Amino acid sequence: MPRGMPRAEPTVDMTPAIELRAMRRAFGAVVALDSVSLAIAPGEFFALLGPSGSGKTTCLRLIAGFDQPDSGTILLDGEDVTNTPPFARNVNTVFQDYALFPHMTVAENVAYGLRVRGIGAVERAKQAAAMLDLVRLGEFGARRPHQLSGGQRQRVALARALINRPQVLLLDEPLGALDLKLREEMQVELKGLQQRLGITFVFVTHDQGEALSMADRVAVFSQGRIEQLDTPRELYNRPQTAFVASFVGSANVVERAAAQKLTGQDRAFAIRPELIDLLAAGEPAADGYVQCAGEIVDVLYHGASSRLRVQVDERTTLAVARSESAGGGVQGLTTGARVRLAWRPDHAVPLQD
Amino acid sequence: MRSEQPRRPSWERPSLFTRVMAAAGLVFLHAPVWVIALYAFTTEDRTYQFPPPGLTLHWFDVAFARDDIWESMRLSLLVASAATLLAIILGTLAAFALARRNFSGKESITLLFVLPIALPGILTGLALLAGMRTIGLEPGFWTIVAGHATFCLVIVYNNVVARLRRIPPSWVEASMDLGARGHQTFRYVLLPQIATALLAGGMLAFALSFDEIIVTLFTAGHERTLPIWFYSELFRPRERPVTNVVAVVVILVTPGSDPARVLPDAARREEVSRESEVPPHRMPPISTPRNALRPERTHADQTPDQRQARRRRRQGRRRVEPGDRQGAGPRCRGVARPDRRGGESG
Repeated sequence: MPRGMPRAEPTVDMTPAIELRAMRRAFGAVVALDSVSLAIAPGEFFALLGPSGSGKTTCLRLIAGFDQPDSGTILLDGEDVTNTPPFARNVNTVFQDYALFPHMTVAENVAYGLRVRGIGAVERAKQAAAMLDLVRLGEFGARRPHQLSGGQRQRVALARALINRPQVLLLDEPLGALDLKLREEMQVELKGLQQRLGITFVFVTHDQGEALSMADRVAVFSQGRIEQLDTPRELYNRPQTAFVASFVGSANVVERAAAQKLTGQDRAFAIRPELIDLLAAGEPAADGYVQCAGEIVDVLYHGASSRLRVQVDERTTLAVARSESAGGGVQGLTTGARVRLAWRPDHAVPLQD
Repeated sequence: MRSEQPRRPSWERPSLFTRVMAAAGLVFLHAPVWVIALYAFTTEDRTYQFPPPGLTLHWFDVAFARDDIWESMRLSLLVASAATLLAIILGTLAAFALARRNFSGKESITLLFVLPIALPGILTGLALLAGMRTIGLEPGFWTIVAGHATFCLVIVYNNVVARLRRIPPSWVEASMDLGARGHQTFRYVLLPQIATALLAGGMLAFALSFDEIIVTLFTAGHERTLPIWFYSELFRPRERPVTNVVAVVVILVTPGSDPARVLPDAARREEVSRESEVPPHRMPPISTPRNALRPERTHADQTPDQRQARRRRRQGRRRVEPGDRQGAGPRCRGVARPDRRGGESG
């Protein structure tokens, strides 16, 4: 299967809310997006995940219409909008810096989309108030954005973007500027909001945890291409490339040469640290398990779990996670000790080169 | 009441020397102004003897009865208004074109825009005169306006471009995203943001045009603006105190046009809060020449700074005649400053 092609097409047989066909965008010599194609189903919560500079934000900006592709087509609800200006697209955006207008009150900010469409002041105020209630900021309409906290501003930006009832809501690193606790709250809130409204959400993030916990499907970007497009579960359990395996969660990526020595198969593979068993001295491995031996390089205690790294040959070190609560502590295991490892063969995920 | 404020450590308190020097500086700047004001009331109209032999309001009657003063005043106000309006429109357009977009030759065009303020007035004047002659244009009201607009435009441009550079691009994108057409984005998002910059730039441009004499001399033809009237009055010793009366009137009118006072409090507060909100990296360094002429800080101290810089540069080239000190054009602007200060403290 060629890289960059979506593996799991939307199962529902209907027009995609968003479809990108062979999108390419270069800034000078830097190719930000290289022939990206994807289809997002209506009502889907879709994440564009990748490190900075991978093209995910460029992709979002092309969907919003702030930028034009060098080649390729964008379809919204089956309609070609490649050359449609942003104000004529039924798509709204929550910006990373929220982009609230400081000279307007919160209510005026929220009502802005109605104002520029020529809707009367009374109706505007009514809808803005309803929208602020939806994001639980009912009493804050008269304030200015700078009088709100970061999380409140985020919700104002959300209300402002939703007031035009867009087909698609785009969110650019929506939780990036919030602290950890607030971020977790907003994750729940965003997910709930999306399910209540039934609007397609497309959000950009570099945080794999966020993508896994919120999205229905995730497109992993690297160097302007989609590495893999899958559900969070598939992405985690069946990464197709070394990049996805190590970017989504943590994984041991075993290169081809080492893999041949360990398993006898001429193919690179990935295995999650929590799926590797540590065998007690003299304990036999279960039937069919892949076995190897090595020397402990270091041991790190993380509270709920511990992680040790075991060198199995000159070039390969495997991380092994041990749950503290399940009696798999690391007591007695010290640096330099020899241990034996084993894993189920089907837990090792073969990778494309 | 002093005890209510925390006492500042000694190294932060000004020394006696600093205080004396500050006072001396203020006296040096403002004493000539008071002299000008004083001689508006003198009973003696030929020489400047000190102290004046007597005081009278007679010269005010004389001044108000003279049509030539009113005419010059009216012309100066009209020219300044027209030049300011032109500068606001063109300067804003130029700022929008040059603030964001990158295109080849942008730096050169920026330089061309700010060059008029760096050129000596006499060069601008000569060039305009030669240009007008070449295309057979009769000097008059509109040629003065055009001449003044050359440097007024720079003032407005600098103010607006500095403000635009601090507006995050995402605001414009958010506006478009929510359905606003270009004119709506300008009207609802950008104009409120640049309004105070336009006000400050416009006032400064107005003041510069109002007292401009060098460029005016070359472009005015037979028209007489107020500075030219002042200048020609110097050669009529008969009613010399009348010039002082006009100077006093101009001084008295000036404080009302101080941008720091005219700006509504709310606008200033908002500005302060916004400045603190915009992260430093959003404020690109100003890359055009003459940095000193365009500081975008609080408007209160911007105006005198910029005025002074410009005045110093332009006056440095002009020999000040001995009889000149009572109130030639460019002076009367400088004298506006003490009055404002006095008004605030007293």
